[in-house]
Amino acid sequence: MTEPPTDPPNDIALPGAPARRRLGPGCASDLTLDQLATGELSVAERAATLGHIGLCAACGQAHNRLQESRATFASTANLAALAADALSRAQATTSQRRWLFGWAPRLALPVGLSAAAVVMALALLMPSSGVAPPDTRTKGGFSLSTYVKHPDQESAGTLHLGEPLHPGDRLQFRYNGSDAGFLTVVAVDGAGQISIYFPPGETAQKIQPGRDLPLPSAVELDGTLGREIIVAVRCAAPIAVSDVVAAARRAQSLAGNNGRPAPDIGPLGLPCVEARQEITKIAQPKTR
Amino acid sequence: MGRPPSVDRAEIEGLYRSYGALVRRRARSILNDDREAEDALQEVFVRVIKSVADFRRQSQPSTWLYRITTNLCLNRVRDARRRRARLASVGDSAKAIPPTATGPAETAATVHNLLAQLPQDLAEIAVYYFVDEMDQAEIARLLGVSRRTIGYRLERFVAQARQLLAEAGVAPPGGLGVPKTEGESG
Repeated sequence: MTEPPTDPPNDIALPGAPARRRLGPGCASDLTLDQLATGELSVAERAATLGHIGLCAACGQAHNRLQESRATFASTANLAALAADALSRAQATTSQRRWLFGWAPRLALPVGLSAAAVVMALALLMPSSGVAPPDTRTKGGFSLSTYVKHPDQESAGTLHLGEPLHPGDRLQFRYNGSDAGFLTVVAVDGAGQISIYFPPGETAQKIQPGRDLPLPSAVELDGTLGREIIVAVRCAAPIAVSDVVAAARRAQSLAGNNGRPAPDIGPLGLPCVEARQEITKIAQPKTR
Repeated sequence: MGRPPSVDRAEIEGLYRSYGALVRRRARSILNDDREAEDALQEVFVRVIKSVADFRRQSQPSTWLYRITTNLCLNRVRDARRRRARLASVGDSAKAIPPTATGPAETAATVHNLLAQLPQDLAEIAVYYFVDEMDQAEIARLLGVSRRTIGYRLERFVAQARQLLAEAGVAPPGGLGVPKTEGESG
């Protein structure tokens, strides 16, 4: 399709919506009114906008409405809590990235080798025994099997029930379930920090039905010691990872209000199926 | 945990003080839901923290935040619609917002529903035009495209919106079309 041959009309009606408030060329948009409030307009723009607001009832009302909105936000929002929450979320995604990058150099060891060699390197992370891994199966749902690779070990093995873990250990999960869906895995540690274990992207990753299907990434445990709850969430439709994290945060807040210490949290309250697992991190022994 | 962002809490608090109301109001306008708007507010500021160097370089941070907030919220609107469709397809009771408009709340629902169903490039411009009351020249400057392109996309938005409403059997009040008597110099 090509553009129309002449300039299009400048006022277009939105079906079902009331008419726009702008009456003339001097009328100010919300962006201009916001920039007036934040001091982003030039001296001339500021003078013109203020002059117009004084004459135009519609723009004056819009200006007052925005001012009230700012005043309400300033008086009701807990800015310190909002800032702390945003910083915490930013750090959570940063740490997720660190795990992925931390993983990458080791996968990159076979650089220059064939793809088959890379596959072999990955295979070394697979369990060496047929012992059933610990998992948590949900009714009508799914489970995750967990495998661990200690820093001084060549290959990964099954994580046994109650087996303590250490900072620097790496975990890999496998999916067991008869249904497809979109999977996200988050974890709450003893300090109350929520981390994203899977997937690396912003949206839950599609997973096919199957048994012992390895998730295509691993995580390296950090130095926070104590219990940690891993929550896997499988949804029928794509869901933003940030929505899962937000749900975990709400569940964590609710648990805290009920006197439950981190990392204990209740159901996330999403229209999805959950599976959980608890691990315990202890300090690294001097000799393993 | 990972490396902390190169910004401290006091600076973030200051940014909330200056721009928090702006982001929350815009998110509320597009998402039509207070709780969703709160989540979007936080997500926008997480992005600010993660791109704080870019943010500090902005001569007009409000413009930057308008675009970030708009696109983030439109993505959420679409994700929510996909989830509703998926849940509905497996027999869930979730229902799409009916496209009707008889009062302010219904108008908001109508706009919200249209934004979910129309292409992102059209929806973004529609938000700037109908929600933020920008004129076409202002949107053109914001997006770095010609004013004619903006007008053309707005016409496409309206045409597709009319078609969606017609398919839903809803007659929009006040008629549709392109008024020629009101003019912006744009």
